[in-house]
Amino acid sequence: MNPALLYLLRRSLRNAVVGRFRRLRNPRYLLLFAVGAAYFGLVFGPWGRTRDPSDDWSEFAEWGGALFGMLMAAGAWLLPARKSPLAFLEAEVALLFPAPLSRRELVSYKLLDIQKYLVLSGLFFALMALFRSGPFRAATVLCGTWLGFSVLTLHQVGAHLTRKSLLDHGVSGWRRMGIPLMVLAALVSVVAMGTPPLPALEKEEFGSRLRDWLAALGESPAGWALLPFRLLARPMFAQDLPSFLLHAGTLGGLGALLYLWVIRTDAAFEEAAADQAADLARRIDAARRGKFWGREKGRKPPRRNPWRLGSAGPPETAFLWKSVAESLRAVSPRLIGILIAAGALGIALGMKATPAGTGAILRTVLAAVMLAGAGLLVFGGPSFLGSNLRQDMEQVELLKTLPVAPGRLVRCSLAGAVFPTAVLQALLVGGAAILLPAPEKAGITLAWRIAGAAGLAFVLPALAALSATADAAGVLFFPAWVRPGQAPAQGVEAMGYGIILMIGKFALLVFGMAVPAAAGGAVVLLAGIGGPAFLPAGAWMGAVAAAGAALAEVALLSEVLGRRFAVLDPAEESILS
Amino acid sequence: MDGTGALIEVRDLRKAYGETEAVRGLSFEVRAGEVLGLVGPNGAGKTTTLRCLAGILPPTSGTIRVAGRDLRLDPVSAKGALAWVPDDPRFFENLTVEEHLQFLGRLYRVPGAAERIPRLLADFEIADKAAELPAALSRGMKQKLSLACAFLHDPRAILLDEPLTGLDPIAIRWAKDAIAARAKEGAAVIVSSHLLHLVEELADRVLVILKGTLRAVGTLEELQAVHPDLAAGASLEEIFLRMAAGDPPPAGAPGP
Repeated sequence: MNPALLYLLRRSLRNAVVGRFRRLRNPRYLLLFAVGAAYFGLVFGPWGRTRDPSDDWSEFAEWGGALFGMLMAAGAWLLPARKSPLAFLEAEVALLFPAPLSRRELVSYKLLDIQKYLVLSGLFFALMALFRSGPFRAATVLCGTWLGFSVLTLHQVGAHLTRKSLLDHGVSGWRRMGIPLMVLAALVSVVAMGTPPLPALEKEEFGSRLRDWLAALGESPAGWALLPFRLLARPMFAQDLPSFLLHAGTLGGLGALLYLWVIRTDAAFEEAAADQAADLARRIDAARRGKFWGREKGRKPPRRNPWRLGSAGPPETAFLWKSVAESLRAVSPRLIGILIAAGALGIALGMKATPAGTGAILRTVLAAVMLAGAGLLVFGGPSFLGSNLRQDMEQVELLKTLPVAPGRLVRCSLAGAVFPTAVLQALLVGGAAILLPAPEKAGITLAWRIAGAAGLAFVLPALAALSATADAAGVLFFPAWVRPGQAPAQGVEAMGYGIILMIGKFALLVFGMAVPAAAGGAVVLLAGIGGPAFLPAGAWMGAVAAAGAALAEVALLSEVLGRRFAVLDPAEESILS
Repeated sequence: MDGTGALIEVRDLRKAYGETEAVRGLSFEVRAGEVLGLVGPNGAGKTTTLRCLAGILPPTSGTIRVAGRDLRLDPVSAKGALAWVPDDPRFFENLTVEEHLQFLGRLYRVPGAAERIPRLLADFEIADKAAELPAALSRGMKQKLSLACAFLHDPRAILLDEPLTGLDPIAIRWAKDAIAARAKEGAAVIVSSHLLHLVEELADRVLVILKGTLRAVGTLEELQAVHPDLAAGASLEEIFLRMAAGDPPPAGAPGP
């Protein structure tokens, strides 16, 4: 390894660690660190109740690791990521690519650079093992995890470079997939034919019977075919030093072979690396300038806008329009088509089947899944669908110059974030209401069904709005944790941030729903005076009242967040690394 | 040009991105002590050309020789003789200013780097920033650090992509002097810039590239001769605008 590159790695690591500790001088980050450390200690540390999984489950872990490794390996060939696992930074492109370094030195440098992330992953598991099983287990877990992930990473890099090399030599499409597909087919055939029959797994002897079966599987042709994958987890779960050395040595040998394969491939990775580095640099630049979330530019062709936006009307509509447009651009027409087709097929199957047979069960299950999906969207919808404040902050400079009051600006952004979620929730709830078996079978009258669906279509988006408000608070109060580029914030402080955000979200939902629940309950009670016939309509009106109260709270909170937005200094807050 | 003393030689350089050909058969040379200005509109292929010359992008076809060494066949030796200054300098986030120079000193095996680095930092007026991380530097300071990194190993071929953009007038003057001084010491320099008056001032010859194709190359006087209808002593800006407007080159226009 080139000594200059070793110097670069050593000094960068040292300065990064020193920088992280220096950041803890800021009380806000110290608090995050304390929360994260406390959580880690309580869950995984000496006070936690988790056990070292290797105590009882080492055989299962070996097979779990084998399955994981096999899926990763197959994915690298058959469903490869667009981005190279050898992700160079723009600084590396600018300073190392024109430098007198051989291709082999560049690849080796990058592989070594990746190791720090793998060691960090190993350290996490090692700390857990340290508190449960002592220093020997911690050491074997650290080395074993690092070794296993290293071998997997080498394979991913090798697969990527080999695919690229084949493309460089004019081998593309199915011809490029041919050999991996044949290898996979052969492996699947051997596993399918060589696996011993699974015994009846009864509750009392479940563990012992499964163990016996796994032992037989290990000795079968299927076990031998899967041996390279089984090796991955063996060092991590070795119970004594000799077995650890044996397994680590074997896996290390496999890693050495993979390393030779990687550095001998002749793929021209420079161009893709330079493009990828430029993409990443754009995102980091955006963050540096206070534009916290710089997304890739120019990858997708623009698609038609959802509707023509006039110049008159409230600013909220502009944000809604933008959010819908971005949502539609984020998903491919093929995906939308598949989802619509799947939904239509599900509904058609459910409707066609007779209520007395399996159709009723199928319809109930589908309806339950749809309702659960609508419920889950309360938490994740505004973050993943549409455009939320986190993304809007990419244009923080523009946002700050708009002739819109800060509180209203936050409300506009929240509206944009929640709108696509609300539409999807309404569709899911409506679909569930249609799918539920006939009233006489389900025990839910048509009136209640309509009232429930219509009520949920109001309440769930309101809850999603509260959830989005918590997300927005996180973005505005801890903007430095909105990491640009490929990786989210890592480390103990990031864990602390995640916990604080989660607690905040739950607290906001629980306490925030007190007033809406009271308002909704009062309306239902009033409706109940009129008699049971009025109750379904009363329930719907109660849901509308509750949703209205929740949205009023969101409006109030957005004023508070607006004040924070007004004083936010993006350049000062955007602390990276 | 007879090729004598050429430190950068480009022959029939082509670079394609899929169906799009960004650079189409470019050929030119830059001799020792010469500054070549590379001008062209946005998307003309200037940066792609420079990135191919720097060894960042592999050309689709063609030959690039730096200090007599083929960049494709002997990349390590060829790269040892060249320096690259990108339009937007990038640095390692966690290396200080001084550590960048130490790192590059070792990478290029610069003899006496330990003594040379403080002098270079002082010359480039960034000695007081030696212990700072790049994030703490202004745009001008970053440009100075980028030039210091490029000049540390006394490169024989220097490629600069928009080196003066974003600099204040003092820094521009300083950077121009630094580039001219390197050329005077015998380096072959290629400067790509949209600041045509500065290119005119700095470059011995100018290469105009349009849509990936060499449109004209020569001294300002030679380029002026291409368009005799322009007023005598027409500026590079006037000549370039005329060329970019699509006027066909008259017969006998200077070429590579």
